[in-house]
Amino acid sequence: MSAAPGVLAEPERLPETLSFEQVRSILSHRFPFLMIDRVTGIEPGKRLVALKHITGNELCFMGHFPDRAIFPGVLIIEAMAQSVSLLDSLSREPGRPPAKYLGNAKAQFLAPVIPGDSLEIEATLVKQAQRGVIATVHVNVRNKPVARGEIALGTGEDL
Amino acid sequence: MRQEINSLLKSEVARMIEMPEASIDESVPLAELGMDSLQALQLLVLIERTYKLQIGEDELQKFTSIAAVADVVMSHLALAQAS
Repeated sequence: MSAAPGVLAEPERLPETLSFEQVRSILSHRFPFLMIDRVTGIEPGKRLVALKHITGNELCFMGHFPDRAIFPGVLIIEAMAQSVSLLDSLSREPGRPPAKYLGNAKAQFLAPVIPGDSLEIEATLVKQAQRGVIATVHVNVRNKPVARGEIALGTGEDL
Repeated sequence: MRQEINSLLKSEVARMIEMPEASIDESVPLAELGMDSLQALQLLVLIERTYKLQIGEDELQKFTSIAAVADVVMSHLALAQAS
């Protein structure tokens, strides 16, 4: 039986992983804007699966919302974009600038994300070029889709 | 077919640069319309999906105007039909 879109079936689990320190050595984002805790699967040139754990101590919950903590959709988009940036970096020729500037984001949010949830973010490469990358992204929590979309990132060479 | 491609490209470019379609001249350079290389890449993906084509990154340098992009699409469609 094949898995639902965006849900990786066990046999398809990818072997390569990245620790938080390795993620931090690739992405230039830092607290409070580093949105990836770990990478659980990498297939350079094709796809990447990343994890973002949501705790009740996230800074954003001070205001979103004071009476009910819901992880903001814009930060889910940021986590999607950082996953795409990691996939791009790991799929690009060494020495080439990675795509990390958000150019376009189309996203749908399907369920609220709350403290205690872990986002499993699967980015699949659509097109990579010298000055940018486009990827589709599916985000699941406990194998249920919470968001999906398409992200376009530029390398900033146009800026 | 050429008309259909032109129409698709014009409508997508208009959406990207937030200008009315009627005000866009197909021969004007995309850069002059305010499009950047990432938007050109998005246009390429739209073409690939719509016409089930595979277009290499090298072809992006030919994406100078809507008319020029339509030429690229037409040549790829002709190649696909021939094979």
